[in-house]
Amino acid sequence: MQDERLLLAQIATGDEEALRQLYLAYRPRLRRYLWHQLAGDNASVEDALQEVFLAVWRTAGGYRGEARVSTWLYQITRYVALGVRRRQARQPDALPLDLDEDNDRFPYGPHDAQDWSAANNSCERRALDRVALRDALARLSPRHREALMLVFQHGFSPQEVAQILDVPAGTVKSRISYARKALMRALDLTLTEEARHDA
Amino acid sequence: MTPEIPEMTCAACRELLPWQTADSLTSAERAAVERHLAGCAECQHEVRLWSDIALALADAERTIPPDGGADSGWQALRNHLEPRVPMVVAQRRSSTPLAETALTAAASDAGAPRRFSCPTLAAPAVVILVALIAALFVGFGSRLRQARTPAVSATATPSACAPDALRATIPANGRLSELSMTSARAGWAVGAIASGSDPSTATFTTLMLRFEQCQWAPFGDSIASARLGSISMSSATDGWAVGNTFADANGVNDTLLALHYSGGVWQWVSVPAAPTGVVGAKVRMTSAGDGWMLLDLGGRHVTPYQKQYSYMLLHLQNGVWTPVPLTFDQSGTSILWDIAASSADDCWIVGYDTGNGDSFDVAHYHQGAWTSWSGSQLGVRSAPLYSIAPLAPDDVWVAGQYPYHDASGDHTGPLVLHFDGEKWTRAPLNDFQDESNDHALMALAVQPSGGVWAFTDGFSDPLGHIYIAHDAQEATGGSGAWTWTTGPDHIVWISSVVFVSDHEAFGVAGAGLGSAILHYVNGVWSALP
Repeated sequence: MQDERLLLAQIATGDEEALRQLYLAYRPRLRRYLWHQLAGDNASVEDALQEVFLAVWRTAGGYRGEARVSTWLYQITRYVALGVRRRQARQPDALPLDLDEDNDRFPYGPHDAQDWSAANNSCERRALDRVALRDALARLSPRHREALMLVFQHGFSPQEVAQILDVPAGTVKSRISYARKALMRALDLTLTEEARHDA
Repeated sequence: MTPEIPEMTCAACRELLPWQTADSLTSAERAAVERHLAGCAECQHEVRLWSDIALALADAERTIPPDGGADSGWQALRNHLEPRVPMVVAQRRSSTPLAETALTAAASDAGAPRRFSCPTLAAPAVVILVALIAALFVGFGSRLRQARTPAVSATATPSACAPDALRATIPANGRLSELSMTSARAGWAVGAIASGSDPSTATFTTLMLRFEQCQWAPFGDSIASARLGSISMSSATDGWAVGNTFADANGVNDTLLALHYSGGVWQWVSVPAAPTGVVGAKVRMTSAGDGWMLLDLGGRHVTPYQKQYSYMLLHLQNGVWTPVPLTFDQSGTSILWDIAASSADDCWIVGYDTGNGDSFDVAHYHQGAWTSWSGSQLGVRSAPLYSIAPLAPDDVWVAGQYPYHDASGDHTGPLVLHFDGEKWTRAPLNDFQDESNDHALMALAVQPSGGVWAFTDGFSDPLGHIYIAHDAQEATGGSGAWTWTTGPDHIVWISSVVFVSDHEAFGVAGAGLGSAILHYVNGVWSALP
């Protein structure tokens, strides 16, 4: 693929081929991001992808080069996803929202004192924890999962995640920290349940 | 010469470990982290934790179905692109802030109407209260100013039901849209029940709850392949509930579902004026014989940048629903989000224009003609409005969001406007400390004595909270003393609130995976168990 900034400049002149290249390059990762944001509703994801690239087509000339092209694209994508969720939530057939798990205000729960390393004292234990961790991730709130995904799956720096989420960089680090604590709480709960079941 | 890297603390190291694991640190940061890790066993354990989290996230990614739609997606996108004159476009763009245009695109076009995501007739609120108030008034003529007279006595007992006696039974996967109260002890709520939690594969049946004897409970039989989105009771013995039936995947053949409550029975009635293709509807009754119904007929792309939205407004008079031309929306690019009716001769609609962003925000129908205001005329260009509460021709409240720009970028903030009959004034939403998260006020509610409440949703808030704004002095004729409180835990949006007295209100809200009945009493908002 050509230089992304050059592609945007070409898109700004009405170059459909440049838009196609950008679309094909970014569709996979933006689709994955939207998949989690829109609760796996494939039709909504496809609609949102189209809206994102229509916005790119319209606004490419306004790209000011202050952020990476990828950061700029994710910013647009987040706004589109936010709009979709905002509207859908007001319909009785809205996407499910698992914000109940969003417990940022109480990140330092009773389980926080437990050290992760204590549960990692054997290979078997770690293998079991991997499964439990995956389950715990599934129960994480959307905004915590979103922050983790942007860091680990999409490779953005703290500053870039902050730009995408439109929050200060410190907030990004807080969310990551909260996510870790929430995972630990959920993981501890899962392991406790398994231990009770085994007993 | 390489500058000396200062020793890191454990706290500083752990803050960077997620990015260390993701390999996205700068070389200097990475070097500092590695140097610290070499001598810190505790932080090494943290590295193992983040590595496991990264692996688990990768596992989660593998649950996403393979993407087989790249080619078809591009073709669909390409079909919406039209040739342009590059220089003209470039010049226009060069003077258009990026984030503003991108944000407008997101705000206006996202969530394109599909079968299961009616874009426009979503949630509003409180206008039902206005209908109730106006209904009380029918016997006294339609002098609107008197609409402040409470539908239920403002001096009623703080709670008609003991708070701990209140219960709500909502079926699994039940999603409520609106409620309408006929007294502090009686009311109705409507919505739909999904067959599963995945809306893309679920089928829907109607949901109706009745409030009596302090219990909200399902009422009557559900209608298959249909949903209810709006309800307005003109009295305890008369009211309408509307929605749509699902006929096909794209909504072209969906039809209006209109239920009329009369004689103690809900009956499915035909509305001949309603066309096919109704994907959503709202109803506001001012009396048993007078009401307004806004039909959402869906939207479609007409240019790469614009959608054409279609609506129909019906007015019930002499027992017949008759179309009223929406002449203020000539371009068809406006989204009509909320409707309110304060009398047989006063209908208000709010929304926003997706075209140039400034042709429509509020419209008022009176004496057979529309008066409309653009965003510029309201003093807030490109500001989507989501809710309206007309108490009188010279006392109208609207709520929404406004775009602004500061050093950290482009944002939107909560917006309330008041119309005094001559001019619109922006309410000073004092002390709202969290404007960095694109909040929008999605619903309004008015106490019988005139106190105004507005509700954000929790989508943009880092903690998922909703926030509630209250103009405390409005009740005593003042203005400007807006205060903010946080909404109940686990409530992520509020779509409809009705005050049954100055001290008590009911609402419908989104809560986690489903809906909840919201209750306000003694100054506290909570979700009913």
